[in-house]
Amino acid sequence: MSCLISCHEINKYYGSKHALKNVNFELESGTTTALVGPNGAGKTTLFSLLCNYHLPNTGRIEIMGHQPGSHQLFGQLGALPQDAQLDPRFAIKHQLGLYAKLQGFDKKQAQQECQRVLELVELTDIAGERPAALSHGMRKRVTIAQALIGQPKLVMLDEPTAGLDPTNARNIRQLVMNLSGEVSFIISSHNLDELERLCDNVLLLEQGNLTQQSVRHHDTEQQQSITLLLDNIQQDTYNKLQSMTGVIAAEQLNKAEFILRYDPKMTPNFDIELIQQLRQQQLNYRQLTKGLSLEQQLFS
Amino acid sequence: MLPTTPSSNGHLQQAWLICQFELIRLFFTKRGAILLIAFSVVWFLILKYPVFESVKILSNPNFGENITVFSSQLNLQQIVQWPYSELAVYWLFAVFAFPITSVLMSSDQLASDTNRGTVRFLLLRSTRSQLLYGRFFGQVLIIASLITMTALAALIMGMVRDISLLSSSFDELANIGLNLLISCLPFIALTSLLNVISKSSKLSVVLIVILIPVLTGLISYLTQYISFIEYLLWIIPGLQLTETVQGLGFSVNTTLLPLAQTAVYLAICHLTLTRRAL
Repeated sequence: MSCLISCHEINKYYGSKHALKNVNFELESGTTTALVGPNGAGKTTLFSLLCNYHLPNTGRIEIMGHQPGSHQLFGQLGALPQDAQLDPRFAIKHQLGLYAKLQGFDKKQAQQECQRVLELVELTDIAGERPAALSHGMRKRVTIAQALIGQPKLVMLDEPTAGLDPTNARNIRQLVMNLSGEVSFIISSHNLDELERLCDNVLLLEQGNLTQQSVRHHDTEQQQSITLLLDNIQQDTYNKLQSMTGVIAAEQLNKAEFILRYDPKMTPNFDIELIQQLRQQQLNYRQLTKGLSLEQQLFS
Repeated sequence: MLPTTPSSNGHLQQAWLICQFELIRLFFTKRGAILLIAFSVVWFLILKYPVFESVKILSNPNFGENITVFSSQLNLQQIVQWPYSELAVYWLFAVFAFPITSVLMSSDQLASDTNRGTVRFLLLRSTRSQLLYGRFFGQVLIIASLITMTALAALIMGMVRDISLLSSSFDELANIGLNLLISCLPFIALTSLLNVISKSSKLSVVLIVILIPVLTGLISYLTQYISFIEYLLWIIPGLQLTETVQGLGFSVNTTLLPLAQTAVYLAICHLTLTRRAL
C-alpha cells in the first residue's frame, strides 16, 4: 500500500490558541480512518488543512505526494466540509454539473455523473430542485454526493451522518462500506459505534495533540477481552461471570455491560464456552463483542 | 453504473468554466434578474429622455460651457463633433454610470460563497487563483455585454433618425465600448479585493462608496502640506473619468492608469486570497 497522507510537524494557531500541536501521522491508501476527539480538539481544523481551506503555520502536508490545493489533486480528493452549503440560487444538477465539469467531465458526462452520484445517495428525483426545497438531511446527502463525483481516491467526511434519520444514516454507512478499499476514507464523527464498524485506523485528537492507533488490535492483550451486554441483571451476576471457566478477570462497566478477560492459550474456544455457560446460568446476553469497543479503547 | 473517466482540465479552462457560471448567475437567477430589471429601467429612462433629445441638447450653442464635475471644468467640444449626437449624450452618462453599475453588479464575487462555505466545494476542484480570476473575468464579461447592449440601443436610436451616418460611427462605437470597459476594470478589481477582505457584498459596496470620496478629500487636503502625497491619488479608481468623458482616445491617464490600478488591486487580492482561511 502506498502513502496516502503524510503530515509532518503541523502546527496551527488561531491567535493565541494553539489548535494543532506538532501533529505527525501517515495514512496508507485503502484504509478507512476515524478522526475522533472532543469538541474543540482540532478535528475540523485538521480537515481544513488537508483540504487547503486553512494553511498551517508550520509543518508539511502531502496528499498522494502533492501539497493540499494543488491541481493534481482535483478529482482525486473529495470532501464533505462541515457546515458548507450549496448555493441556494441554483438547482442541484447545475451545481453538481459545474463541479463535474471542473473535474474534467464534458457537458454530457457531467449530467451522467450528476445522476450517478445522486443515485448513490438515493436522491435522483431532486436533481432539478434548489437546496432551499430540500430538508437538512437531503442537503447533507447531496453534499456527500458531491464528494463522490468522479473517481476520488480519498474522501474526507466531516460528520457525515449527523442530522440524518436512522435509515439514511445506515444508507450512508453502507455506501462507505461498499466503497471502502477502492476509496480511502477519513471520517470525523462523535458516533463511536459507527466509526468502529467502518474504520481500520483511529486518529485521536485531544487539545490539539494527535495519537494514532489501529481499531482492531490483533495483539495478545486485545484477544483476551470480550465485551458482554446482558439483559437480565441480578445481584450475583458479576460473581457468576467471574467464576466462569476461563475467566481471568471480570470488570463491570455499567449496570448491564461487562468486560471479561481470558487467556486464549488456556481456553482457545472461550467465546463458545462462554455462550454455553451463560445459558446454563440463565443469563440472557444482548450483545457479545470480541475485544474492547472503540469507546473503551479510547477513553477507558 | 461506473463513473466515466474525465480528462484533466487546463488552468485556463477551469477559470473559463467559473467565468461562464458568473454569466449564468446574472442572466438565469432571481437576484440577477432583479439587478437586470433595475439596470434596464434606469437605462430606459436615460435613453428615452436625454439620449432621445440629444439633437436638441447638443445643438444648444451654450452646450458644454461651464459643465463642472468633481471640481473639474469639462471641455466637451470633441464629443459634440461625433456623427451621432445620441452616442455623445450616451457617452456622457455612461462614463459615470457604468463604474457605479460595475460595483453593484460585481459586489458579490466571493463574499456569499465564502460565508456559506460553497467556496469549499469549488476549492476541491479549482485553485484560489482560478476562482479569483474566473469570477473577475466573469464580471468583466457581464459589464462588457451590458455596455454593448446599451451602446447599440443608443446607436439604433441614432440610425432611426439618420441612417446615412452609420458607417462613420463604427469607430466611435468601438472606442466607446473599449474606453468604458477600461474605466470599469479597476472598480471590478477593487470590489474583488474588498469582497475578500470584508467577506460581505454589502459592506464592499458601502466601503467603495465611502472610501473613494473620503480618501480623495483626505489626500487632497494633505497635499497642501506634503506635496508628494498627491501621487497617492493614483491608487483611487475613477479619478480619470473627468478626463475620459472629454473625448475618446488612449492616454496614460485614461487607459494606462486604470489598467495599472486593476493589475495592482488584483495582485493584492490574489496575495490576500491565497493566504487567508476560507
